[in-house]
Amino acid sequence: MCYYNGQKVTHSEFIRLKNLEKALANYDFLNMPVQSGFDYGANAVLKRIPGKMDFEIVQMEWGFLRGNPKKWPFFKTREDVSKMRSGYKDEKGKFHPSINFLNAMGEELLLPDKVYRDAALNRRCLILSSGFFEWRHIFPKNKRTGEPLKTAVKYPYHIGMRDKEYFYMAGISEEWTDLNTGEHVETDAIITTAANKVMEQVHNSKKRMPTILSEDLAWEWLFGNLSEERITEIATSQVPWEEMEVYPVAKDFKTALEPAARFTYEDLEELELT
Amino acid sequence: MFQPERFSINHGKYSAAVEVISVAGQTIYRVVFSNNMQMLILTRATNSNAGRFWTSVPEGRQELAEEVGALIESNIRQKA
Repeated sequence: MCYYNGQKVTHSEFIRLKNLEKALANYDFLNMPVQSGFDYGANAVLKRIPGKMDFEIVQMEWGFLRGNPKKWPFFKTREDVSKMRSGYKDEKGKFHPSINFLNAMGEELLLPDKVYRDAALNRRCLILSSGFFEWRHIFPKNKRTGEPLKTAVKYPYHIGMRDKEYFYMAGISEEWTDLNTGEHVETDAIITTAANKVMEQVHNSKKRMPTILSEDLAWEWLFGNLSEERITEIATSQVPWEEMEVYPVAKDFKTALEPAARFTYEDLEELELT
Repeated sequence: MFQPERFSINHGKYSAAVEVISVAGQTIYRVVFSNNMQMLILTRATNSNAGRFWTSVPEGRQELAEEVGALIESNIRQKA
């Protein structure tokens, strides 16, 4: 017999509670608002339990890492991953720019030899989000010539869904193991699609946005036995802009106590929302 | 599809938002207090006499776990 929190429990119950404790200790998202970050942080992800019409919430590392050593790009160690993500100089002094696998374009998911193809066919998941941030680029005009300046002023925006505390982004996942240390993580990438009317104005440098799914599409993405055509159709679907709630936030939002707090910029033109 | 099923509980000393979440195949209750009390995670466990009890995960806040657990249980019963 053992004790948990002063209560006498069986060995098996003790083990179950200790296992739960360990699982929770690894789930950072339980201690923070669910949110997509900018760094290679943790995502709260809905993952299908194999063979069941059921899912569990797990924590994954945002930044897709391929698990098959025989397929490019495969990174053997965490050090290699860090180098790839931040860019590095090799022994000959040649600079290799950073490559990121944070986002997967919905239109290209299933192209032959695409990094994400196998995951899109077999390991679709849902990234849980309460909102995300994007930068709007505004090019001020030269006071003398009236021409736009070359350097943009950037304003951050918070994007959420009206009346929804949580929503789903389409995602794909893959497990990766460090061949030196044995560190094992589940990683994911967020699917992106062409920006809708409001996101075209906010993320105006790239005109892309996450593929945000309705409840029905989310269900289908996770549990459906989907044709390639349907996968692409869902991956490239656009959430209606009218359902989004979009507003500017402070430029130091990343370090602010309330990153998603609304902020007013005197010189910032309103978005066109009619 | 994803619950958390959510509700709030009120006690004379505090109020709190409760989320019911399935993690690692088990149901947990995430309790966020409106005052400065640290977030609490609860689950239902079985004691050696097959009786059910509320417990905090990790260990250490059993008294609060039982108090908050009772409020959660009463909320769930009201809805049933």
